Amino acid sequence: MPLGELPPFDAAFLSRLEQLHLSARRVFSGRQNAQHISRKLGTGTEFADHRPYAAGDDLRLLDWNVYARTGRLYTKLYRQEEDRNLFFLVDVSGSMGVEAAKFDCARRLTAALAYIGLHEMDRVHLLGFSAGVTAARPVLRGRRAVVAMLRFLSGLRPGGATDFNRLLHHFTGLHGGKEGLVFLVSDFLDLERVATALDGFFRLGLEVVGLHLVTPGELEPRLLGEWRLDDPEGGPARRVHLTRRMVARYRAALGAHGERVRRHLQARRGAYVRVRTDLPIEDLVLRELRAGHLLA
Amino acid sequence: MRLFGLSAAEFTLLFAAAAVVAVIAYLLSFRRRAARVATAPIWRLVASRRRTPIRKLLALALELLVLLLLCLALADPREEPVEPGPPVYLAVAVDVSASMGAQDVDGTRLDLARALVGDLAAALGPRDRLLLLAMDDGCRPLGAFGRDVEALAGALAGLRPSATSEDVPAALEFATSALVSEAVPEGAVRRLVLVSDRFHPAPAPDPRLELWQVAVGAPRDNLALSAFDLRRRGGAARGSEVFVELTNFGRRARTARLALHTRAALLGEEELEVPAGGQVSRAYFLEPVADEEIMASLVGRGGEGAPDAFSLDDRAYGLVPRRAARRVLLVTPGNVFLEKALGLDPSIELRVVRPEAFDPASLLGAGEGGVQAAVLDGLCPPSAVPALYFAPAGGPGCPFEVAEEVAEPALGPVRGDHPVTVGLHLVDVQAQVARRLVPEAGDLELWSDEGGPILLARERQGVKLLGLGLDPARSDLPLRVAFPLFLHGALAWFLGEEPDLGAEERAVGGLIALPDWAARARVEAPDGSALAPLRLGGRTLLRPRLPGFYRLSAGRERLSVPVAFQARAESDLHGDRLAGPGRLLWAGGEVPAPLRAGFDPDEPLTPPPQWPRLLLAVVWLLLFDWVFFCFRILL
Repeated sequence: MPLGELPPFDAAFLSRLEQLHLSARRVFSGRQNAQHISRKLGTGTEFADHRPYAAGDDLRLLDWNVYARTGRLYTKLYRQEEDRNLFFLVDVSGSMGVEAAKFDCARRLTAALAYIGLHEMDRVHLLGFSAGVTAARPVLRGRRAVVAMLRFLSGLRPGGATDFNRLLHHFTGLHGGKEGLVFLVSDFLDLERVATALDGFFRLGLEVVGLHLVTPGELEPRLLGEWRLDDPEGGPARRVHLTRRMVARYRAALGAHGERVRRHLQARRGAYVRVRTDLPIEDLVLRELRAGHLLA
Repeated sequence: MRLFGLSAAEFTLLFAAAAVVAVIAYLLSFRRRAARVATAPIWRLVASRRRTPIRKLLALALELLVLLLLCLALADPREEPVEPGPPVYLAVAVDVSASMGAQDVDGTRLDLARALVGDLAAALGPRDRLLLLAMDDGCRPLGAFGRDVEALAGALAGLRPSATSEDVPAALEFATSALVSEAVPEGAVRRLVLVSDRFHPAPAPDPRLELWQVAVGAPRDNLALSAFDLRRRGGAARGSEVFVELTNFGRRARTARLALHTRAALLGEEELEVPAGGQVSRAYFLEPVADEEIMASLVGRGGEGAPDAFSLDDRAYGLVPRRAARRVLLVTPGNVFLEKALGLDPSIELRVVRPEAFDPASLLGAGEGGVQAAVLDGLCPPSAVPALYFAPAGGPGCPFEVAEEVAEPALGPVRGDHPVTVGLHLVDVQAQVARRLVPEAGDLELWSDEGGPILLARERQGVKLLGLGLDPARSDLPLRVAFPLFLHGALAWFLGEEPDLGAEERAVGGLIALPDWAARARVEAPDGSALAPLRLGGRTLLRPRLPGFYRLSAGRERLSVPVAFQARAESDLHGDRLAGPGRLLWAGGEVPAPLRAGFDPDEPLTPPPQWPRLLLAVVWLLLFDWVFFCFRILL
């Protein structure tokens, strides 16, 4: 399939998606009514607390049962149900485009999660990044925005080098001060800067979910002998004689890198899921992400 | 090495072409392929430098080796065809002298010699022949030229070390004669091999043959009883005196215990230390003992075991001399030289008579007065007993006719082959005057000047007479050391005491004169075997082959003859071991190459092909390659 148009999801898969919602460890404050509990107390359905009645309170909120027992007036307080910000940061660096399946997987995974967010009436922010934010879509909300969401994702093209620090810098400029959930869909191959950037996201008050994409070719490279390894992100080419021992060291280093990102995220109450790109999108969403408690 | 399948140039070209292909393939393996890898930062961590692994170099070396072996297999290399060697005729003289019985590391030296000669015989080719000779004081062949290994082994097994010295010149002469006289094929090699425990001076061999000397075994230290003698103490003293000498033939000082004993009793012992290469002598007084056979033995330090590796010279044998009463009459006007010279011998019972008191008739009656011999100084009466006449006056009744008187005679040397004068050194004897004697038929002239005999020996009707035309008092003869020896020899000849020979003659391998009755005697050797005396030139002789006591018995006559082992060359177990041309040292192992016999015609002239082995090596290398690389050794 050529890089560009995303294949459509079938109706059954969409109906399954509509039954899911995105879980967050934290409770965010929103702006409009939606399906998510807010830190604010208001007119929701979930009881939160009592407070003594004050003049001007809505009489519908008086707890008559308490008054009957105690003879004192109390007003019932409820959680406000509001929307939330969902930031989908899709890595569109050169390393994501080496294998078309990897880039497609990133976009389809993002599309599936964004679809759930739109269905839950959340504010969905779509951003593509490599050396900083390279593409951004104004906020989307509601089911009607699904087509726009898909159009945006289909328009993404891989290229450039990954720079998480510049990403953080651009993101702060665009969405600084907003609370929400950040889905970082990437291969995290900016080894030196990824930890600093993740810390920056957490300092912005965001909850970060790392979706680490790895392909079978990256996990089990079939390279032995004399090779020139070109860096798709413009790094220097490396002339090497690859031995089995060296490949084994590579596998260990790749595993250690993913483990380092996972520990970094989980230590800051973030989430991490390693995504194998060869798995069907249905399995990824309905099994892997649910198993990671990202979806409920 | 020669190539049978390909020429050297073809082989070189073939291998060069194959090697070039292998090297090109090796170089092509470095052709680099390009890959875009998303995980380039990870790769940069683990593949920071480029390195050609040793595995590839090993693989190239292995490929080149396999190609070389395959090309060699095609070239079919073989050893150079063997040229047939000439047949070899070997005369091997094996030393069986006493020293070959010395102990070496494993067995005796003769055992080593047997092993060497056995190997030589086993290596004989079909056209080779071997003659085995045994060499001690004689040389005897143990068969004829042949290659019957079993017969040779039997002959070798029968060899025993003797107690004598080897006679190398005789053996060389015998072996040379045998080799030269043997009809050999044209071009055959005649080789004489002398197997001994040392090297011997050998004359230049016959140009028709090769001479090799092989010294077997290793040098050894040895302590020997080199001298042993007994004599009865003189005068009224009782008992006897023993003289013992020990010689150390080793390179370090040795200590051993010397024991003097009879067959039944120990007479005494002493521990002696002998310096390296030195000698120690001792003299002991022995009390009278019942047994006249005395032995000296060497035992190890502390009295335990043998003192060294060679036992033959660790024991000596001697007899306590019997007190012999030889009654001698001396008639002299007062010649003290004569009287004292005769009185020195304790076995002589001397009666001195002045001429005026002498009764000439006393010499005519047999056994008159119990006199066995007479010494007459200036008198010349007839005598029925053996008599020595000094300056006989001649005249009626005198047995010797006297010629004219000679002033200051120029005397020549004495005759050396008569018992009276044997061993005497009488040169430039000064005499104021002498009278020549007129010899009769049968007389022996023992000493003469230019005009005639001065000393005559005569034997008539069993009576022995000696006439010396010198007056001892008017010459310097009594001042000579030879003078008492002359008197002793004269009396011994008179009394038929020829058997009284020195210790040298009583050694193994020598000839020992026996009394006449011994011709019919039974002789028992030290090992218990019976021996027959020799009769040679009217004399009865014994040739002993072992040291020890030889006991003779005939009727009531009894005689014990001690025989010593006194061969210094045999006792020296170091010997000459300096290597040189024609000399080989051997102490076991392979037969020295120069001694091996000729070519075996049964061997193929063209060596077998080697290509199957080369292909097998290729298979092994490929298997090694598979194991090496499949199990990732050095990967």
